[in-house]
Parts: sequence; C-alpha cells; structure tokens
Amino acid sequence: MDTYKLGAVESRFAEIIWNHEPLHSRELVILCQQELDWKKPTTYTVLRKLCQRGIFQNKDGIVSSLISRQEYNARQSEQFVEETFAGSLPAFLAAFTTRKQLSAREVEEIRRMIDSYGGE
Amino acid sequence: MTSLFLKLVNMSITASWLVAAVILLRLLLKKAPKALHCALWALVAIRLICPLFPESSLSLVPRQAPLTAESFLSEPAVPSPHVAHEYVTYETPTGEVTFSETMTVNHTGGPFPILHWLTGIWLAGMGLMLLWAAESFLTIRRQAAPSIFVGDGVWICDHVDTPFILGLFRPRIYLPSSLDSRDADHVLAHERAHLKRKDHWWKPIGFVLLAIYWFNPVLWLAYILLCRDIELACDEKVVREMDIPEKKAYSTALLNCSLPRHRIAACPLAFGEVGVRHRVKNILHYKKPAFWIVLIAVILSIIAAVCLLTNPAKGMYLYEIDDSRNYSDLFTNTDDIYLIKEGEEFPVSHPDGVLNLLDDITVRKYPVSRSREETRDKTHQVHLRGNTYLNFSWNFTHVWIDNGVKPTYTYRVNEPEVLQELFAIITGEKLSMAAMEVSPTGLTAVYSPKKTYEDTNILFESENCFLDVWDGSRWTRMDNTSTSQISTFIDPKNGERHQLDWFHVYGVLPTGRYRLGSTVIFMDVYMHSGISHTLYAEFSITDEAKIWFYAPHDAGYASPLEDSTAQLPGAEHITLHHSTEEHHITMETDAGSEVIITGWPIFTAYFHDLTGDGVDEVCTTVAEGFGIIDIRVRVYDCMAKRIYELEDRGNSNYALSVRSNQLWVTQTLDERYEVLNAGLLSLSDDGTSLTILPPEDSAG
Repeated sequence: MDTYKLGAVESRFAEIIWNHEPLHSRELVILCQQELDWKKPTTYTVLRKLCQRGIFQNKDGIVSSLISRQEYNARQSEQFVEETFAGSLPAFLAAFTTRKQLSAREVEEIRRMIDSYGGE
Repeated sequence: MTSLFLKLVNMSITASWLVAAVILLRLLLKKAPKALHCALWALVAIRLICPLFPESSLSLVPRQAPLTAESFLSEPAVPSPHVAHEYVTYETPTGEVTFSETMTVNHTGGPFPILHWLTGIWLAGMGLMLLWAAESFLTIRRQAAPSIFVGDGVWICDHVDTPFILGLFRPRIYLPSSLDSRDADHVLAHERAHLKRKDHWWKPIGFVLLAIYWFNPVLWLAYILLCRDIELACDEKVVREMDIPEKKAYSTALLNCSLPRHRIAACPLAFGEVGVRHRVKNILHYKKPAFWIVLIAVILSIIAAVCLLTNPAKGMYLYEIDDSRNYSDLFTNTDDIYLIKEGEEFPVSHPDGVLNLLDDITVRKYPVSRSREETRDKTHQVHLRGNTYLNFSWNFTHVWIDNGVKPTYTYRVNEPEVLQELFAIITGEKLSMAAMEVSPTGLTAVYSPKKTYEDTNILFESENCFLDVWDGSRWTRMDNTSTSQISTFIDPKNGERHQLDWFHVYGVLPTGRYRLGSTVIFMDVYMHSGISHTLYAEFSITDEAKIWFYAPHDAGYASPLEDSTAQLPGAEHITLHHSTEEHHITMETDAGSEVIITGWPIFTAYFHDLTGDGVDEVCTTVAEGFGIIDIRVRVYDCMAKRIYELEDRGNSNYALSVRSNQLWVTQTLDERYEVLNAGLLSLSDDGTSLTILPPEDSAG
C-alpha cells in the first residue's frame, strides 16, 4: 500500500491540519470534535498513524505537515496518471478534453505551463 | 446454580428436537421466502428462553424423562460395617442378630460432585463466549471510531473492508471509504434492509443464547444456519422489486464486498459475509414466490409452531376417563387393593402410596379405541374394590376401566414406565426376599434383586420386620413386644443378607408355618415418591430339631431361663428336669433320679436322635467353669446312659444351633469367634464319639 495514499476519512482529517497548521494538538482535538464529531482518543490515534507514515509530525504538542497539500496532491496526480494513462500526460489531456471543452483562458494557461516546463 | 444448569440442559435437549425439525422444514420450504426461515429460528429461541410451555395433544416434542440430579449420582456408597459383622453372626451358633443395624447413603454431604464440576465448566464456557463477543465488539468499535458522518445514518470509514452495522438502539451503517460509488447504493440498500428487519437485534440475541447453551453442538449448527438465513432473507428483501440487470449489479456489489476476512466474520455483532456463492445464486434465482407457496409455507410454519412450542399434553387423569360415569371416587373408598399379573394376584400391603401413584397417571384425551369389549388386553390389572378393575395392556401403554357394569373405551397411557415400575415392585420382579437357614430362633433373610436397573439407582428402606403365623386358614400377625426393627438403605443391585433373630421378641417358635414380612419403601427417581410394599418369605419350622430350652450362649449369663421339665421324646416315661439353681439336668425314672448333664450354666438343650434308636438324645451347649475354661457340647444318651462330649479344653468353643431345622455345631476360636469348623452334629461311624459333618455333605 502506498504510504502517502489517504483514505476519504484521513483526507478530511489532513485537510483540517493543512488548513490550520501549525497548530497545537489540543486545538486539533477541538477542531476534529467540531467538524468530524470525533472523540479525543480517535483524533490522537489517527494523528499517530499519519505521523508514523511520515505525512505529519507532532513535536512538543505542535502539529505540522511534513508533506504540503500541493505536494500531496501532486503525488496523487502523478500516481493517477501513472496508473491510468501509463504515465502519458498527452493521453491524460486527451482523455480529459474529449468530454470537457476547455475555455480559451484554460488553454492559454496550460500552454504557458508546458512552455515553462519544456524550457527548463 | 446447579439446578439452573440442569434446567438449561433439559431445555436445550428439547430445543435440539426443534432445531432438527426446523432444519427439515427449511429443506421442505426451500422455495418459500427466507424470512420464514428466520421466523422458524425464532421458535427455537422462544424454546430456549421460556421455561414453561402450554401443553397440547398435538405436541411432537418427544416425551423424555428429564435429567435430574439423581442422574448424576454415581454408585451409591454402600460399603457397610455390616459385612464384617455379618460374618460373625452368620457363623456363630445362635446367630445373634442386629435388628437395629443401619446403613445410610449420605445424600446431603457432598451431593453429586460431578454435577458441580459440570456446572463450573458451563459457567466458565459461558464467560469465555461473552468475553469473546465483548472483545470483538470493542475491536470493531475502535476501528470504526475514525469515521465521517455522510448523512442518513451512514458513516464512512477508512481501513475497513466490508460494510457493517454497529449498535443496537442507534444503529449506524458503516461503509468502507474505498467502496466504489456504483456499489454503494446496493450495499446501502442491503444494510438498510437489515435495519428494517431488525437483524441488528436478532443476531446478538442468537449469540447470547449460543453463549448460554454453548455446550450443545446442535445449537452451534442452528446459529450458523441462522446467520446464513438472515443474509438470504435480507437479500430477498432488497431484490424483491429488481429486474435482472439490477440483480446482476447487486450481486457484483456483494462480490466486491466479500473479501475473505475472518476477523469480522467471527464478530457476532457485525455483518460478516457468509456464503457469497450461495447468496448470489439465491439472488439470481429469486422469483417472487407465488401466493400459494407463501400460504402453504405460513400454514406449515404455524403447524410447526403449535407442534413444537407445546409440551406433550398431560391429558386427563384416570378418574376422568369416562363420559358416561363419574369415576371421581375411583381411588377413594378403597381399602383392599391388589395387582393382578396374568391372573396371579399380588396383594398391596400399603395401598396409600400405590393409590397416590395411580392418582397421578394420565391418559390421552381421546380414546384409541371405542370398543367396550371385555376381551381387550388386560395382562396387568389393578383391583380396586368390588368389581372395579383398571386393565392395562401387556406393555402398559393402554388402559380401560371395568366397573362390572359398563367398561370404558381404551385410552393411551402417558406414563407406562411408572406402571411398569409399580408392577415390578409389587410382583417382586424388582426385589424379593427369601428365608434361608431357618431355625426356631431366627433365620437369614436374603433380599435379591431380580433385575438390574443400570439407568437408575433405586433406593429403598427396609423396616419393620415381623412374623406371621399360619393358623390353618389365614395369616395372623404375631405379637411383637419388642421395638426391634431393621431400617437400612440397600443397593438392590447387589442383594443383601440379614441375620434375623427373634428369640428376644417371640421366643422359640413352635413347629408350624410362618412367613417373615419386611416392609420396604421403594424410592425411585421417576416416581419422586416412595411406594411402601411388604415383601414376604415363607418358611416352616419342623420338629426335626427340637428345642427344649434356649438361651444364646454369647448373650451373657443374664438370660432369664427358668427351671423346666420335659418328657424325653421317644421314651415318654423318662422325665427330664433342668434346674437353673443347681445348673444340671436330672433324669427321673421309676428307678429314681440321677444327674445326667452339668454345666455352669447350661445354655441350650435340644432333643435329637443321634444314635438312631428311636429315642432322642439330650444335646446341650454348656459352659465349663462359668465359661472361663470353654463352651462345649455335651450329649447324653438316656438309653445307653452314656455321655458324649465335643470339647477342646481351653482352646476353642463348641456350640449348638439350629439351621434349616437341623442341629448344627460350630467350633469357634476363643473370644474372637473365628470359625474353625461348622456342620451337622452326628455320631462317628463306630458310635463312640461326636463328629461334625461338613456342610456340603449335609446339604442334601
């Protein structure tokens, strides 16, 4: 199993941390209770598991991320492209654009991304 | 706690029959809605929970003798101090007897240790089962804690592989977050159907019952089948309105959620997947059952419920048997009852117990035959009074009553085994008594069981031995001035011998016909009460061994013997006189008086013809030197005026006694009563000395 893959429940939890980090673990408990209706031990259990997997860290009661949201999303996307389109970005784009029309602004944006990527 | 355990064991045995019936019905009703199968399991649950059930004559529950604490009674401990003592009394010449000798089986101390052990094991097993359930419940709850509410009673949860339901009062449906959204609808439909069917209640109830009755393997089978039926019934509820493609999609969802996982399958409170292959088959083949199939199935189930949830009907009592006449006084106004077996009559000495027992006998409500023929089977009869007879068939299963006016129909007896027992007791099939080694002063009573009853321990109490004498037309009870009696528990499997001596009660019996009576109380586990019955042993006292006077030589010197005079049998002109003052016997003839036997004292004197001349000899047991030297046998032949003696000066004792109306002599070692020799008293071949004929030679 991919250590960086988060389940649906874990993703919600991770979102809370990314949105508020760095935060004290006590604050996290309160937030989780408000948003997820979790009890304190549940929050700590899940937090401990994600720390073990190297996604977050809990140093002296301060919770912060080791992997940022963008990084996490990037890894997820890479993995998705890898698994679904054998790592071919054009194939992915082709699949994406067959069903959904891109607006001119979106096309321009992608083109700029590709240009800057290819230029490096 | 022990009695509760016994009760549960009995209930589980009854329920096992029900489980067998339900399994059979499930096979018969394969096409019926599976919900009906679940309802059938509910019957089993009710059987396991309720201690009492209405009775019905339609009941199919087999009649059985319930397991009782007595069933666990191991061999009753009957080693007795009696055995050692019996040896002594058996061999001593006068047979000193112990009317008051008692043996008891200890009922109260240390009752049924095996049962206590079993109860302990049962409690421990139940504890383990509940612990197991609690442990898996907590594990699942821990797994389900990090979950997110997504609405409508549904939570999603990472790292679980199957959907499940948790909670009794506020059940929550948990779905794995990895669940494909296409499957989610089907899975939810399934779980919601579970909730609607209240399966989150039925399954734990089933498990708690299993935990209580864990010792019964049949109920494990029942629980496994119940879990399967719950899933199938739930599937049917979901797919009832589905078309084929929908069913296919539903089956696929089922398959996707059925990764093998033992952890949850073991948990009694979550829905593990059982038999996916079977379930998919059931779903794809499911057709809405035709109305008539449902109808038939429901009717069959109701019949099953009536037949299996009721206990066998008690029916009615014997005195309620006939419609045309009132038999309510059947067992009253009865003083002289007797049992008849194949024409032979057996009087009942204590009718109360027998009447109480007959009072409790029940029969089925409806007659098995409406014949009033008098030629019906009456192998076993109970004569109550006048012309009133209870007629039981050879195997006690049928009864009809004849009051001499209008016989009743034939009815089926509910408790044939009780009657069989009763007849066995009264007719002596169970236990009889015989008299052996009869003498005018006592005998040996031998109680012999005629059947071995391996399944039960029948205890009985023997008390109140008495003697009846035959006066030519009837038995008359002899006056018993003593309070001596026997009261003892005996194991009838082994039989018992009792030396009885009535010299102190009745004196020396004159010749005649007698019978020994011994009242016993049969305590039986089936009957729950005692039946007192008197066993009789007939015997005769003949004049072969004539006792002149008698005092047991080992009873001390205080025996209240009086002076007595007798005519010598065979030579009546000779008068004999025993003087207790002078401690001698004198012979008085025309020629005068002479002392023939001395002794300090003379205990016992018999007349017995040893020489074969037609005139009896005077045979005595005497003490030499007030017993300090020894006890010996002294015989005087009045015709030849010759004295014979059996003695072993200072070493051993010789004493005379009567056994089987013959004169016996027993040689015992001083003080310890160790028997050295015993047999018939006789003269040696050359006629010069006394000898002892070995018992085996004298038997004929």
